[in-house]
Amino acid sequence: MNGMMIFKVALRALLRNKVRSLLTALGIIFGIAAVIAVVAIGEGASSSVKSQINAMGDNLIIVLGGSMKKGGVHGGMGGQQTLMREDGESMLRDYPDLIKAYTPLVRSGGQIIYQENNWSTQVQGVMPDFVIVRKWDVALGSFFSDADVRTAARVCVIGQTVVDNLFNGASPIGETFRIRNIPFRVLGVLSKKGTNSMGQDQDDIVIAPLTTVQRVLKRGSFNNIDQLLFSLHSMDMLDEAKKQLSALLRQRHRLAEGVEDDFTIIDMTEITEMATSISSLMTILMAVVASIALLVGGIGIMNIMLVSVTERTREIGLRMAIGAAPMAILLQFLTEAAMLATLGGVLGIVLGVFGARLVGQLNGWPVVVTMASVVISFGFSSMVGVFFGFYPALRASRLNPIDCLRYE
Amino acid sequence: MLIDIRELKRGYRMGEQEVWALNGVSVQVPYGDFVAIMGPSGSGKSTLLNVIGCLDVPTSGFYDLDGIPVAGLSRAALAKVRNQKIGFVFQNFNLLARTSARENVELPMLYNALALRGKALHERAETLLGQVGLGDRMLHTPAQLSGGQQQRVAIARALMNNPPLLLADEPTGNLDSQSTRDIMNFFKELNAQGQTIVMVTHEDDVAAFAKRKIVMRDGKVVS
Repeated sequence: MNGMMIFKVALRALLRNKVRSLLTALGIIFGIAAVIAVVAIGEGASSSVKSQINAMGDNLIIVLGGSMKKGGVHGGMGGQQTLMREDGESMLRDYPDLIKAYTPLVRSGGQIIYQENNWSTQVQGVMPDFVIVRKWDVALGSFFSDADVRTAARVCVIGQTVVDNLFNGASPIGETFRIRNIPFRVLGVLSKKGTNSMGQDQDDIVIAPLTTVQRVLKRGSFNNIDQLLFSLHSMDMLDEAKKQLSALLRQRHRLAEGVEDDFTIIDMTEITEMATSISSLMTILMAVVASIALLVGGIGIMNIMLVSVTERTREIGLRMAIGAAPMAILLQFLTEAAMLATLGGVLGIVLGVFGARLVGQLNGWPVVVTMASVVISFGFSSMVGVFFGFYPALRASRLNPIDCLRYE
Repeated sequence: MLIDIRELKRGYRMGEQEVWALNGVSVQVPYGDFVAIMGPSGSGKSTLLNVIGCLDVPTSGFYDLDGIPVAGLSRAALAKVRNQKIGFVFQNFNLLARTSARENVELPMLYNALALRGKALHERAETLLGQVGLGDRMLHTPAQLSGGQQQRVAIARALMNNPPLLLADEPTGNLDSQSTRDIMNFFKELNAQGQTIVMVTHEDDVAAFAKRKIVMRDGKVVS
């Protein structure tokens, strides 16, 4: 009896009992469907976190002012105004092989007014390399130039949310609006970035030349900078860049040995690591759930196969009488179990993919069905079939044909 | 000699006691014979049939089937002998339910390594069903056939691999008298064409169709 024949005989036996075959496979179907769906939703979440981290900038590192310490009381990060525009410029000059681009950043904000509309938003003052550092292009119009920074021109680019709220969605290029009664001309509109991982709308923003924000909006205060943003050539240089940056800042700020840093360097690896550790925890949890589901499904198959062997005792006896060797009987029942499980696996995959899509659509979650999860589920379900089908098949093959033929 | 059985014993353990279902049986069946094995229940005729059919193995003694000493063969080897040397006909037909007559007839060929496949297999099954007079019911399932028709499907199945021996266990036990006559006449016809048949029965009028009778009592052949 060759492989094709065994396959055919098993398939016929399954088709003779369609309803029972389906019910038997149900455990596997739902087990696999659950695994596929949960993995797809988990992968979707983790890929959206990753893309958000990536969207923050191109190999980005950020320097914040140090925590304020007054009379032994620590303030929050960036509370101390210690950073200067020149700190970053000298870093860029000294380490061109590490730093690809640099921009200082100052924050301000306020009510902005255009005709009868007004809107409260944040204003950031930066250099033109901001576009490179934050990987953020203008979708419409243009960014301001180095000349605009030199002359502290009252120009800006704005995010999509501002366009929607202040200009009712009409093209704002060339229009002038006022921030605290100071007129700003719109040069361009930034491409849409959406909300970040904290749920903040990143498109609710006005970007103006650094000098303009410093002199015009933050009038009179010192030339201090809130953040220095650097873009590295590659993430491999991260440790070296952080080391050199820290040394350079300590030297420029004239910090004696043993004195605490008056700045904080942060990079995206910590956030990435956190996201990765959450997703790997998810993976472990899912693996546990999957094994339990498959175990239950497998036991279901074993159960029904045992019933099936008992119920088909006379068939087994007849097959043996007309020449089926014990091995042929074993293979027939094993193949039946494996086919049930594999078929269940395929149906489960289909159900899982549709389920995940549906849940994703209803909740607005991103869903990513990975090839790996499909292949592994498929392989696992067949393995479960073989594993749990073996015992019933062995029992069938060891039956005595005389007893089987007499069985009522 | 197709069947050559000498001094065959088959014992069972019943608690402490050894019970001899077959207690020194010698039977020779030449090619082309038609034998009816008779005897009261408990006489050992079923056990003899099981041993002849290679479903059971003797405790001691010799048994050559078509020149093959089958007494010491493994289960797998016995399965092959059953497949190629013996065609079984049972009292309760033993057809696969929800399976067409043709598929039932084809079944022995699935376990035959040198077998017909595909179209040739269908054709052989159809020819055999034609011979037993069921050419118009090939795709009927057992539930759609009468008892006599079911037994005829079973006979077609038994002939599938062209075995030298046709072994029938009370083949008419579940049939009415008309069907019984039909089946026995068909057996007689097959025998006339050279088919060797060994049949167990307890009905004299059925045994009358055979060429000769072997009567058993208490595990021994008495005549």
